[in-house]
Amino acid sequence: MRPIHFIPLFIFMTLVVIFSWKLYKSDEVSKSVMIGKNIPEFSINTIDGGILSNKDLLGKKVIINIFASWCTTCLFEHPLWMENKDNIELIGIAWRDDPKQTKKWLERWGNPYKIVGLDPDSKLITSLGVVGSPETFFVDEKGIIIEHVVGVVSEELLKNFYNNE
Amino acid sequence: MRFLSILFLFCLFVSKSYAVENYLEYPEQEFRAKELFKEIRCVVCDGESISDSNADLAKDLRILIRNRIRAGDGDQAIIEDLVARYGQQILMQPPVNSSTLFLWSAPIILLAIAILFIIITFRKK
Repeated sequence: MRPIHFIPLFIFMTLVVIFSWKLYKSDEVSKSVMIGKNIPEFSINTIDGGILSNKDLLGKKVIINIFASWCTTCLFEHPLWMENKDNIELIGIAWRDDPKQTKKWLERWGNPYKIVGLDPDSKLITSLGVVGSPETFFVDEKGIIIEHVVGVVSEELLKNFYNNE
Repeated sequence: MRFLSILFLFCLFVSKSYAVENYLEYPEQEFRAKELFKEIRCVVCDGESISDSNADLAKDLRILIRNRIRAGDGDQAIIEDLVARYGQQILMQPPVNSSTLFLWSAPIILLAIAILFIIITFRKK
């Protein structure tokens, strides 16, 4: 066989390497498209019978945590919230949950949230680009999303959020 | 025992995931909605659109799209809004742009390579 016959094979192998590398890179966590954007406008009921809106979040750093009584993974990060609840402004959004079940869950495991909003119909969570729980949004004083965590939040991220002025 | 099994299966069938959604009042709007559902990926499923999926999030997105159509929003605006919240991953078909050009052209490149190889081989013979 002449060398020219190996050119197609060489090009094919190059493509295999490129695609394999791209596939490997896709396992890395990709940045959320919500980072850098404003919290969307919303107005939802709270578990105490009040109203929570996006305007209530302005003027201070807040953490919005999507959780549910049916969410077993939420229990993994719950101790972190309970340990730090006095030092952070944590807003809970109970997603697709029965308020009675949410209350029972908070009574059982402790309530680290300053306010608990209710989103039974997923109106808020779809405007935030949420796909599951737990998910957490770190929001600055101007209402801009600084970080969006899918899954359990790390203690390091929490400390960095409040240490970076 | 058989009765209990049938009753159990019946309860599963009428559970939350099979709840009836409120279709749009006008058939042309509902047609638009159904066409859009096929373009939007169920991000918690494996390769399904929200049209095919019974996942709660898929249902929520179908309701959201219907509400937007009912409010008078155009298809492109609805898609752009979803992409703004979820990223390109929400689309069943990635768009053709500079970052996806290689993806779209790769099959053509591979086909060209195969044809080239065949031509070279048969020329020699």
